[in-house]
Order: sequence, then structure tokens, then C-alpha cells
Amino acid sequence: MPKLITQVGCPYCGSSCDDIEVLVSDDNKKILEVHNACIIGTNLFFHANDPTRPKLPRQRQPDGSMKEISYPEAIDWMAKTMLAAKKPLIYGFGSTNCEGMSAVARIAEKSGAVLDNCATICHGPSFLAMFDNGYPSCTLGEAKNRADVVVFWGCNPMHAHPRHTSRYSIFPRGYFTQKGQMQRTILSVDPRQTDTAKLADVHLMLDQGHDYELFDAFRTVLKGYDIPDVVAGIKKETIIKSVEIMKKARFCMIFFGMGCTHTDGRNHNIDAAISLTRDLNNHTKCSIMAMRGHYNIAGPGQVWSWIFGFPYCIDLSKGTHAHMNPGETSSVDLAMRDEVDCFVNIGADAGAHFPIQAVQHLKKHPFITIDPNFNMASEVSDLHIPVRIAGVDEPGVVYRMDNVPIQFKSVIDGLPGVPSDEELFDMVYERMCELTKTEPVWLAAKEDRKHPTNISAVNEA
Amino acid sequence: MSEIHGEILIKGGFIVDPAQKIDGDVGDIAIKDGKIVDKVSNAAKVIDAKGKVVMAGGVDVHSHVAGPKVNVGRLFRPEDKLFKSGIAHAPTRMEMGFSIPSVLKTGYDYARMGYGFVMEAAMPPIHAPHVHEEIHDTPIIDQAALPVFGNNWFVMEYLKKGEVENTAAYIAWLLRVTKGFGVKVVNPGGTAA
Amino acid sequence: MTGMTKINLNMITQRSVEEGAAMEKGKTNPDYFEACSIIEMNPEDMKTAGIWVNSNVRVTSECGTVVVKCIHATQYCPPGLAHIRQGVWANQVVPPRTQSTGTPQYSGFPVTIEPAFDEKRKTALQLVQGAVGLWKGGN
Repeated sequence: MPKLITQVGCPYCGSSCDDIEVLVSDDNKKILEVHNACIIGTNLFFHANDPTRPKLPRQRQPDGSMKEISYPEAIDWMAKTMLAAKKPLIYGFGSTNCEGMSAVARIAEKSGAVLDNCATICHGPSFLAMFDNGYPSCTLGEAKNRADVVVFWGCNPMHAHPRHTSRYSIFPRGYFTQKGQMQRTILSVDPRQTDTAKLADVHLMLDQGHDYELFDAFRTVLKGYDIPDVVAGIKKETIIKSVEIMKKARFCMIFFGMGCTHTDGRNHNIDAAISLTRDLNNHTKCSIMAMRGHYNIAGPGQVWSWIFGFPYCIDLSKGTHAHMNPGETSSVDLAMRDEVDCFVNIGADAGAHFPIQAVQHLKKHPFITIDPNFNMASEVSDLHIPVRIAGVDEPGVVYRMDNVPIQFKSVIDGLPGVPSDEELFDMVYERMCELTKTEPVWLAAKEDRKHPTNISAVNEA
Repeated sequence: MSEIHGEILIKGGFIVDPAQKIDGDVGDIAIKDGKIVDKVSNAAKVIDAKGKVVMAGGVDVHSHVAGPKVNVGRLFRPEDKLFKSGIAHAPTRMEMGFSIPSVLKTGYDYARMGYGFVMEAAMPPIHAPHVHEEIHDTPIIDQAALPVFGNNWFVMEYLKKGEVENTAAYIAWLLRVTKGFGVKVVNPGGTAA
Repeated sequence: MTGMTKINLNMITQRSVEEGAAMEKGKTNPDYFEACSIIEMNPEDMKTAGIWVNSNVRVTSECGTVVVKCIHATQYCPPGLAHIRQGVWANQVVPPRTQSTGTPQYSGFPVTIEPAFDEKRKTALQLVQGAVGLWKGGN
């Protein structure tokens, strides 16, 4: 009998929907139906059924082809390669669970690596702004239950977080928002008339790249001063009207995205947005939230903050203490300046999403990919190690875009012999300790590690 | 790790044990399979405690060491790690931070000060897994956490209606699902006011 | 017919649901090719540059060049603004400069666009493997 599993989490975008239902085959090996997920999440779950999913590591041969090797061989090669490198770069973690992120910290320390995650090319500027200006935020539940004015600034949830507007930001009926969309006023600030802008009551179609001036104009009007007739391509009357709407809200919620972080000004745009939020709190309750892209990209920010004190761009190569300096210790900058000599791409696809020159620089050195599926990075790697898919065949803790932790389930069995990220990293760590004749430092008295302590046990699974 | 199941002899320290009115006498403590016993065999691992105090691990009943607000503090203060972090040396891992230490520094520093247990005194129920993850990554010391109830809408609604038994049932349920240790109330009603 | 007219536009690269849905089927899937090897722009700009809708164009930035198919914007772009969905084709032209923040200039960089009727779009593997000397032909 097929089984219906409820309260399943979707491992795609930062909405981290936890109301998915999945019908799986009786033998726990195949996904039959997916309910409630958007098209992207649905495709993700069904992709787990792909019979061509890799089951063994593959290593690049001198003639350019890939050949399957065993897990112990792959683990040994990865350990040796990372230890031999002076400054390996470990990047990714948009799509792994927190248990894996904690385990990789051991490898990063042992090999003196730079530990970075996708925020470096995404919401990194938001972190930079938070360091300087704080983060007056809240949970998505608060937004759903309280917000009567919602501003989408430089973000397009109808495309990037398809169920966000239904679950949290425009349509749902909440505790103080019983009339749903009927009692919410939506503002969209975007240089295109996106599908999100089409749902807005006011669309400010600003000149692309001039968000900073517009944030500043909003603040100026809010504080009662005059502004020029046109700012960032938006007429003064529209700016004044928008500020009035936000000021008169009972609870104003600002969501922002790549329109602010990928454009000129980067962190200064977010800094201005946070200042605007703070200014609005002189008039009403206002909160701001970064639309984090992946379902668990907030994870490494949390996990590495509690382990190292920093959320990304962590340089551990000194061995004695961690150092963070985005611009210096960030993945793309390190790549472009040829400052790293080994690259490990985990749960992400630098091959497709870094600017191609950065990939070319990184390819001068050993290039390893750890990912359940084939992707662009795996197809240029020297070594590709498959692992289980977090949220599909591997459970784990996940941090939603508002930093709320959710315990995701697995819905099908993993492929035989394929470890989880955490198990793989712990095996690489043990091998690194063997090679350097040092004792592994586990978390002292914690004896509930679930991974095998000898590598050959994996292939017997 | 095998020592936990084996025999240990802590030799020659100044023993402080108020319950038995021992106040600094030099002596030995024998441990077998995690319990203090009268004596152990010659195979025991010996720890030389000469010149050192031997006492029960300290208990910090109220601290803020694990969870979302501590992590936000770490995030807001990158400068707290600059030039102020300890230098890592085997067998410990890197210890970062000064006013808001990383979980590794928290565990090591408390252990160095002689503590065995620390209570994280404020766990927001919706973030309970976060608190437990940080506890899991904190070495050596034992920890527990107190969920906060002071601004919980359900508690406030039940109390408003005078439903004391329902309030108790809800609190009991929340303690169980968040694996909380006790009830914490801070600024009751204040954030919703 | 290439190189007859050109137009300089401001380029942005962003997510779209078509890109996400195709990506989760795999980046070598034909859906991904169709979803991401396209550029969207305003019809007036297409006329100025002599570009026919659904024909190929060459997009060149300060650091790279790529051939993509030009379509009318599915989400309205004002004149002067062009959009390639984030992915393999977009990242052939995205400048890696980060303004010292770590984040490349994914949105808001100048490009030159010209008709390229006779040129074919390359596949994702051809572009990525080709850039690092691993392309062997085939798919």
C-alpha cells in the first residue's frame, strides 16, 4: 500500500514550506505524488526518483572522462587533497542540513580552509548591513498574523518563493488579518513590472540600481522634509503617498531581496532599508526581513555563528582563530585573485552560479563536488561524491528565512551505500586525523554519533 | 571516552565536599563506571590532582549561552572576535569571542572554571530546536533550557478566562515538546502591551 | 547579418519560476536550456537593434559574451533594461567585480546586444565545460 506522509518540509526555497504531503511507494523507494508544493518543489521531489542518480563517487581520469570509485578511495583522496592544499575553499550549503554544517566545521578547521556559503553571492550584503545597523525582524508567523501593509522591495516572491504570498505575505487570513488580501495594502518596488508587482496596490517602477536614493527619499519624507520632484525615477507624490501608507499601517512588513543585494551599493542599500524600518517604528510597528533564497541557507549562518562567531567568509587557515573579512575572504574574490588552491563545492552549484571567470580561476586547482545529483560543478570536478538529499531521503534541522528551525523529515530510503553529508564529513575528518596522526576532537561526552566509525561499513550498507 | 565506563583515581587533591563536611583535606576520589566508589583497582587511570581543588562541578542556574538571541548577539558583534579570541591548541578546537563566546568557548571556559552544568534560562518555544542544537555543539558541560511563557498568547488567553487547569495542561505540553526543564517568565505581558 | 546594428542596455539577472522548475529537473534537461538561454527585453529596444523576436542575439559585457534567444519580456522591462534569468547563460556575462563585498555584479551592468541570426546557442555543458577545457562534444 502506498503511504501518505504528512507534515513534510520542502527543500527548495526560503519559504521552507512544512505542509507538504508526499505519497510514497510501499517499499519506501519511490515518490508517487506530491501535494501542496509549488512546481519547483514538486519537480525537486520527483527528481529523487531519477534512476540515473549517482550511487558512487566519480573521479576525473587523465583523458577527461569520469570513472566510478569506491567511497573509501574518494574519502582518502579528498582528505589528502585538502590537507595538501595551503588554503582550500569550502563553499555551498544552500541545500544541506544543519547536522552536515556542524560536521564540516571540523574538516574546515583541520585542513585550514576558508568556509563560505551561498550568502556570499546572495544576502552577504545583508549580513554586512546587519553588522553595522542591526536587524529589526520578526517571524513569518508575525507577518502573516499582523501585517496589513507589506512592501516587496527588490524581490519577486511570485517567482523566487512561489508559495510565500499564499502562506505568509499577501493572501493568508491570520489572527489580526482575518480578511486576508482584502485588508492588506501591498507595495512593490522593482524596475520591472514583475508578477509580484502586478499584485501590488502601488508599484514603484524605479530606475534600476537607484534603490539607495529611494530609501533615503522615503526616510526624508518620513522625517518631514522636502524631496526633489523625482527621485530614482519615482515622482514625489508617489513617494509621499507610499510613505503615508506605511506610516498608517498597524504593522508594516518590508521584505527585500536581490534587487537590493546584487546591485550598486550592495550593503548600503540594506543599511538604508534597516534605518527606514527603525524610523517607521517612531510612528507604528515595522519589521524587515531578508528573503533568503534556499530552504536552509540561513542554516550555515546560524551554525557557524555559534561555532566560530561568524556567519560566512570564515578564514580558518591561520589554524589558531577564525577571521572574517568579506571582500578579502569571500569565495568569488578569493577565486579571482587566485588565493585558494583547492575548491570543494557542497550542496550548491558554483559551476552554474558563479560568474564563469571565477570558475575558470578555481579550475586551476583540485575541484571537488559533494551533491546528490549531477550539476554543472560536478561535470567539471576532479571528484564528485554523491550524498543523500536533505529533506527527501535524509532528515535534519533546517532554518527558514526567518531563522525559525524546522525539523525536516525524510520520505524515502536513501540509495544503498550513499551516506548523508554529516556521515561523509565525519569519515573525511577521521581520515584526515589518521593522516596527520592527530586525535579527532568530537564534542567530548556526546556518544550518540550516528555515523559508522570505520569507512568500510558504508559500502556494506 | 572509555574512561566513562572504566576506573579513574583522582589523587592527592584538596577535597571540598560540604555535604560531608570535608573542607580542604588532601585525599583521593575513586570513580568507577561514572559513580564515586570507595576504591578502584590498580588498572585505574590516575589523575594527579596535587595542589588542585577537587569539588563537585558547579551549577550555573541562570545563564544565556545557547539559542537565537545569543546567536543574534554573535552576529551583531563581528568585532567581538577580532583580536579578542583565544588561540586554539590541541586537543581543543578554536574558541571565538569575548562578550558573546562561541559554544566551544562557552563549554571550555565553564569547564575551566569548574562548572559541570549550565541552565540556558530563556528558550523561545518556536526556536527550541535551535537551543538544543547549540547545546549539542557545546562541549563538556551539561545544559538544559527553560522555555519562556510570559508573552505567550495561549497562556494569556487561558489566564484571561480564568482557566487555570487549561493553562497548566498547555504549559505541561509545551515543556514536553520543547524538552524544556522548567517555567521561565520574563516581562509578562510586556511585549504584547 | 550579425553586427549590423547594436544596442547598449542595462542588464539584470534574476530568478524566475521557469528557471527554478527546470533547474530541479537537472541542468542538462532541455527545459533548463529553453528556460535560461533567453534574454528578455522591451519590444522598442528590439526594434532599434533590428532584432526579430525569437531569434538569436549576441550579448557582450565587459568580461564575456554569450549567444541567447531574444524574446519579448514575460515580465515587463522598460526600455533600456534587459533580463537574462539567473543560470549558466547569464553567468557567461556577469562581471565578477564585488565592490569589496564578495557579491558579484549580478544585476546592473552594461551590455551590448546585437542580432546573431546565424549563430547557435550553446548548451549548458558546452559553456561550462568549454570554459575550463573539458568540453568533448556531444550533448
